[in-house]
Amino acid sequence: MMRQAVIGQFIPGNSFLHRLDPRTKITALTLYVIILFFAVGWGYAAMAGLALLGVVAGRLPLRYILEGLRPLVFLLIITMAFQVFLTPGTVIWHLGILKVTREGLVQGLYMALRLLLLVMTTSLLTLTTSPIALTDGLESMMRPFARLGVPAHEFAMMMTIALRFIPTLIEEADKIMKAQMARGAEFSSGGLTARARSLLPILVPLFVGAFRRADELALAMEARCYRGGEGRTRMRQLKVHAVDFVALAVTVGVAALVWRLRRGV
Amino acid sequence: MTEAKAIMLENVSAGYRDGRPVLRGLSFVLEPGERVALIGPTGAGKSTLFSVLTGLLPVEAGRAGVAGLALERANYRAIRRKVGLVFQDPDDQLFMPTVLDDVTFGPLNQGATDAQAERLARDALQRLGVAGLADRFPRHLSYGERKRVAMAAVLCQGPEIWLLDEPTANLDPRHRRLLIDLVADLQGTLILATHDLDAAARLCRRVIILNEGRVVADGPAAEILGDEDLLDRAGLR
Repeated sequence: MMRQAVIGQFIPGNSFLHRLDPRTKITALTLYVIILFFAVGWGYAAMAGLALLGVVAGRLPLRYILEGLRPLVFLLIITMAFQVFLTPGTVIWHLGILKVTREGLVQGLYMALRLLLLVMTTSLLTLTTSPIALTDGLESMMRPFARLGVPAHEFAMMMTIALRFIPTLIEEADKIMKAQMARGAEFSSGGLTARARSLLPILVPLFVGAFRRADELALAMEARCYRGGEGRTRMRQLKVHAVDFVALAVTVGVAALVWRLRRGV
Repeated sequence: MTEAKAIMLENVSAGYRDGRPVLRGLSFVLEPGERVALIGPTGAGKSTLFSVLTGLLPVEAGRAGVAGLALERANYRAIRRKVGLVFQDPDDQLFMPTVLDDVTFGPLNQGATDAQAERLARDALQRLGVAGLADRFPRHLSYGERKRVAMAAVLCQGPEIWLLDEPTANLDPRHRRLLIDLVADLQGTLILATHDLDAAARLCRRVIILNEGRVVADGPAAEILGDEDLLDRAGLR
């Protein structure tokens, strides 16, 4: 059930997006997300176009991306329903106390599109950037703040380790569930509370296992002379290339366009 | 059709969602009370078969029955009451904070009261010679002790059919002997999945060799375990 989640997964490759510097991708994504909240009307078309361009530039199968959006459907429906029914304005259709307004419909569509694009572009980043490259990029971008006492390296290392252990934890949860089912535990029957309660016996051993693992990992790291970022050299040096400027220029261009379209309304 | 049989498999195929099929047209029948050693190289499908027999993995094709019940979703619950699966790695099986909590987990699921469950658990621990460990943390026990606790956890559910996955693997000689004796004392139908040909010969009269998800040999233990050619071909020697 958790295998469908596309966010956080990485597909190795050698596409344009794959070759970009992680910092470029993080910067472009941040800009994209900010500007997404200012888009109106045709601005959305430009934003969607850029997202699709990203899918093409990452040589990712569109079907795979859509598959990843599926867990979002429920959230989208709820969001749209709220917008459509609760926004005041010109009533175009009503059923009992439920009123659909023109403004609500537009708002709902915008909101849904915004959410879709947000998740889609964020998964573009993780799908085309290996976790190591991602944390390298974040670390490098946080380094200027190290002087203010921000432990940039430690944050990055924490993220790397967390990402590394997600599949391990999923596997562990799977094992625990199987062990319990073999001895008569039920997970798929009963009401919502019964189901939630049956999850508790999974969470406890999962956490116990995770803490034990963390302990062992800390020992293993210390045994290999790890003592934080200070004095630690790097194996991969990040370098910005021409393609990075191209990618950033395209993103900034679209952002400017969207901004202009907003002024035009 | 499945009434009298403890286990009935007819052309059963099954596999994991993300991979190729592991079991490919598996067939055999077990009479109640029969003890069979299931041997085969790693990846032959022994553990997968156990998952199928306890309803942890669905049958994709073929017909299967366990304890007279067809192996399908509606019967999983009833089947799990009759089938006791002892995992290969006790760490996969023991998940509660203390040994006693873990062993009572099964009886409590079967509807026993706290007092009944505790009595059943203490009896089972006693029979496996680990009564003194009831309040310990499973993580702090030795591997052999954990294996025995895992068996106690299944024993106190009183299964009709035992599925033992490599009970003698990774044990020191003394614990291995102890485990063999304990298995010999178990009541009911029993499938012993193992690489330990010596233990198979001691515990079972019938041997089934599994390779690449199919039965490649099925017959009296003395005959099959004496056929060096066959064992060589199945990668067991």
